[in-house]
Amino acid sequence: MTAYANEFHGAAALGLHAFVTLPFWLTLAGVALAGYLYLVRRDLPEKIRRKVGVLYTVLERKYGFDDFNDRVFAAGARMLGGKLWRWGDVALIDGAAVNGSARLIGRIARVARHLQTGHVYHYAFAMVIGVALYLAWLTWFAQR
Amino acid sequence: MFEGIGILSLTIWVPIVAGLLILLSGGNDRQADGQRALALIGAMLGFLVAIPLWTGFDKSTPEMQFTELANWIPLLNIHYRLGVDGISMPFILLNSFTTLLVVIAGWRVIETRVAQYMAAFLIQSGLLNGVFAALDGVLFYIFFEAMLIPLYLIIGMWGGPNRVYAAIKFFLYTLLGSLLMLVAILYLFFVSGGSFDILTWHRVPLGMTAQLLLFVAFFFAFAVKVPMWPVHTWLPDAHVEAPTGGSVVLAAITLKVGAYGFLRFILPIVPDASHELTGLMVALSLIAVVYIGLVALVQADMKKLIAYSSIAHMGFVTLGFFLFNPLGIEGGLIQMISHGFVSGALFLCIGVMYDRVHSRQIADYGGVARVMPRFAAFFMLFAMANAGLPATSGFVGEFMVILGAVQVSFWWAAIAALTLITGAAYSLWMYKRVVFGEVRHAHVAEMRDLDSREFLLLAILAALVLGLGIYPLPLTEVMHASVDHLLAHVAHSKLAP
Repeated sequence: MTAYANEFHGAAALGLHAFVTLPFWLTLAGVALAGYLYLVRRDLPEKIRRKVGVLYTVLERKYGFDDFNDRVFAAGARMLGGKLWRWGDVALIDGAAVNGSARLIGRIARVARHLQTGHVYHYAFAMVIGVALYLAWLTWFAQR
Repeated sequence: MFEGIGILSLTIWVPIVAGLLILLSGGNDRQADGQRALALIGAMLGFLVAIPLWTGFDKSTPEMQFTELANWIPLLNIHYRLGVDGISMPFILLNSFTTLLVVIAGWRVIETRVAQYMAAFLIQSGLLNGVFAALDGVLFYIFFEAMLIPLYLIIGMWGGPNRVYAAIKFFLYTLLGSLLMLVAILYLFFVSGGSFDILTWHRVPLGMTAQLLLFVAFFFAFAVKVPMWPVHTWLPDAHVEAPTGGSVVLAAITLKVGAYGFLRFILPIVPDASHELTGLMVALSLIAVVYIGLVALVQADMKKLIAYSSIAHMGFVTLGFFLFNPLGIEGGLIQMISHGFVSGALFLCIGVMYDRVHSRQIADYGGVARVMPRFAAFFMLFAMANAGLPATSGFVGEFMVILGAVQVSFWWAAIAALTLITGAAYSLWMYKRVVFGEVRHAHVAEMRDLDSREFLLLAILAALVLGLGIYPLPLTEVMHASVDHLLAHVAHSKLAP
């Protein structure tokens, strides 16, 4: 901090100092160059473009970073999101778990309803089987 | 035992009585204007009676305030017991306020069965206030279940083409979740020596097995409501099919009931199980934030997109709660209030477009800014708030939760922070496709800008979103004492010695 403090001679001095630094003059040169190329000699940019070729393309496409972001991050996120949605939410959770359990109950009920025939002798017969099974179970346990 | 009608009772019963009066006025749509006016008066009264909760609130104490106690079913020791602290009070105000917005929003849009529509929202509003004010387990359970009915009717009667499927899915999902809670409530009644007082339950010592089982029972009830991944799939369907007002109430308030349940029941009643299962809860929350954020990105239906974004935002809330530090819990609470404003506003925005074009598909729009500049400005603010832009309310809660997460684990915070990227991606990409570009459809070219009623609604919400984003202090001040008290309580083990 002390080192920085020794360099600092007030706001006005700091402001004035900016005029003798390289970035300031480079910026100014950039403005002047742009003015010359696009206001005075408007034929020059096209000639330069043809001369430097590849360099121009690389700069124009920002070293390819935009394309990279678009193809990898943006498209990748969309693809991943689509997969998670279709396989996770729609197929697995909603399809298998939520609606699947509802379908399963429906299927069991479709089979089970055949047991409800409305004939008294079917029910009586079921009771007889039940009593027989119950007795068998009792005797099996009684023996042990 | 009963000393007159308290403020909390008024916030519950004024909207319900107003709703019943509208129903009694007859279901004839020829008197629709009178019924609308009656609903507006009811909603305004409901909001006015809630204001003293804010102005008369003592911020210095974590104790329950505005308490009311009356015998209800003495045989079973069930009481009509009401009270609010800094955690529940803001939600009663949010709910009463949202009801007012919803009544205004449905003013010209709903043309059939106006009386029933307005009555359903007012009754729902009273029941929701009951959920936040109830301090008796049975009373809470009744309000918690009863509030499903108006929303079920709202989705099933005024909803879109697939409304019956969505309404039944919504009802069964949430009912199934809350049945286990009833078992938990009965268990707590017996172990607490015959009390349904929720605050008594907070002090009952419980063994680890009992705590874990209670956790699971309460978790299902509240996780479905929040909704947490993977029990969230009812929400996109319900949102897509619900009328605009139903979506607003669903997003702004109903989801908050689930998160509120975590703070009122799970953390204080089973603190040891909560600590034990923190890893699982954080994992589910982070999955909601990342997985659901990506799923939101690919939605073609605007309402579905906002529904998925709601799930991701609520993942942030549950993450904050299970950090067990003040930043996390207060951040979660602020996120809940903010999400109430922002998602409510976004659903209203989609409603504005739907009323004109009758489509929710992103592909049916494009260039809306050219025909509806005022609307586009509001929509942009709310989309930005949804993405968590600083100076909007969406930023405050997310920032607090991320800060709270850093204190516990850097990686939790890093994963949670991904929401800032996915949130911006799905909100702004949707905004770009809907609002910017050339007008490609004739129906878009015919869209007219906001009328004064719509402008008023969105302007109020915009002011709230910016107000809470720039100066959240009044809200955090209210919560502070209660959150600190809760954290001190949760830090103590309840395992019986």
